[in-house]
Amino acid sequence: MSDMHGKPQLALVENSASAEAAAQASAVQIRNFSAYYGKNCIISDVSLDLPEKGVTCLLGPSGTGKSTLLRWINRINEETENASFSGNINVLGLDVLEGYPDVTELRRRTGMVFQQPCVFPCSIYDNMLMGLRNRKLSKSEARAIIEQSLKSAAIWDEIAHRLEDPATSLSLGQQQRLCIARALVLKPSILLLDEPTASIDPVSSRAIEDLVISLGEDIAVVMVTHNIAQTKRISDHVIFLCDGKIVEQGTRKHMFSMRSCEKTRTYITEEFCDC
Amino acid sequence: MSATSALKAKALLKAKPASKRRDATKAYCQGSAVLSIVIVSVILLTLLIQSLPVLMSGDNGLIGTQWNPDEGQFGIIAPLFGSVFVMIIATVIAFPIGLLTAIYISETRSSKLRRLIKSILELLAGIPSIVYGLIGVAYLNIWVADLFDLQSGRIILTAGILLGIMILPTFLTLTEDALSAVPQRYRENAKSLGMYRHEVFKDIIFPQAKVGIAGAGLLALGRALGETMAVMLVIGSLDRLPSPLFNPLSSGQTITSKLGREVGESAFGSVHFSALVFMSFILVSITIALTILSHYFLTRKPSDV
Repeated sequence: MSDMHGKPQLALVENSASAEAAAQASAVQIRNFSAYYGKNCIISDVSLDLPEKGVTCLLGPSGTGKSTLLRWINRINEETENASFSGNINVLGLDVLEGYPDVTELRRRTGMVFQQPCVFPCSIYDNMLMGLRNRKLSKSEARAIIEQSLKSAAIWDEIAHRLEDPATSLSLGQQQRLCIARALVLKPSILLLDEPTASIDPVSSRAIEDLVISLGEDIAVVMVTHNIAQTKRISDHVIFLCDGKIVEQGTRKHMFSMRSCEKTRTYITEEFCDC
Repeated sequence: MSATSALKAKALLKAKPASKRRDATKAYCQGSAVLSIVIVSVILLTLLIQSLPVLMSGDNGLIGTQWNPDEGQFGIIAPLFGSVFVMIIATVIAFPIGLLTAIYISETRSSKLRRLIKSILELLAGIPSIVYGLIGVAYLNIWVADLFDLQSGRIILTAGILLGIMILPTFLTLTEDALSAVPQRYRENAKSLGMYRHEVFKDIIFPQAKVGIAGAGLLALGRALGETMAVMLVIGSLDRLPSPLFNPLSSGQTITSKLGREVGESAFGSVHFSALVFMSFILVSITIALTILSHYFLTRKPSDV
């Protein structure tokens, strides 16, 4: 188990050559991972691989540890009091603890967007600049990156003429796409999305879904959701979690077919899990 | 009447007392607010009326530095300067320490430890000022005299240090409140962009908390300005401007210490008494201005900045 600052007290995976090779094949490799808040075990002994490209949905009922798992991938859960974990997470071939002594580097390589749109109380442009602050870029270079990211997030056309406006003046859906664009500025290899459509209207939600699908063609997108229809629309891979454990994982085709396990089928058809 | 209508009528009858209670509560709150405003207005008006004798009397040197009641000299500049000077010293001491401690507590410590530290600080804020004054006389006074090789430590600097210590808990706890009030999601979002902790504070947290911090500062200054007993015991009570002007090692006087010492000695209705009342009018005006300003900052939304 590790403390809230992420210092490992128990390493369950040895750094063998085969483990390293496997880690390099997938964007994220999680082994024997358990997460705790105080003494409460939220995730129990989970092992999984997240592919380098494509959209992977972490599906399951509320309170099953999907967000907690996601938040440990870039160690943002360290910010939560009493949070600790045991096990091993490899991100882009490096152990999140040993390979990234400077956690900011890990976070720059793994963009993250949260459930609630959270824009900073400054202009749209300054919001976008936040992620670029440690790069020595000229104004024109920074502007080009920002424009590219806003275009990738499918929001450029809507806000190009008002980049100096306060970001808070945008609608919730636009704010969320701005948050995605802000994460894309970092050119991350992995994008972590924690229910990004949960608090926005269906039209904006669909725009984000299209965006996620297109992003999945180039990078690894890991998205937490409990929206089954959404999972069906956008996912390439699905991991079904219940009660802190992986019930089943596989391709979308497999998970939404009659070949999936009974628990998965029950959840998908009845949105209910009796774990 | 149908059964439904009867039920509706019953419900309306039941609702009436509730609305009456609401009205009564509203009236009570409004009455209290009006009463508070009336009391403050009456105080200001009384002070102003009582100040008239000195304002109407001719050559009293009110805007001067000489204070000699026997010769009709009531210069308020020295105590006014003393009040402001002591307040500035207190600010210079309390604000950096308070701000850095608040940042340390709110940004790096667990909520459990934060609550513990804040409880202790709030206890400190509640200690009567005379206790601080006694500590000032017994220890601070002597330490300052030893440090600067002075005959007496009853100087403006000692009063400023003591006031700084006194306002520190108030400033610190309100500043910490302002910092903690910035939602955690801002920190998480900023850190998920690969920003360092100091960058998160400088660019995300502080801009949102600064109005609250300014309000905390002004509220603490209001307390510093109004403090009487502790200052009176350590400032030296000398009715003159320091020489050179910004020499903190000279004895001085503040409006409050002046009032504390002389109100009992002056005859009610005399010009001397009136001059003291005029000084208190100025003090109250400054304190009210600071309070209004702090209220403005404390209630201002970060997005208004």
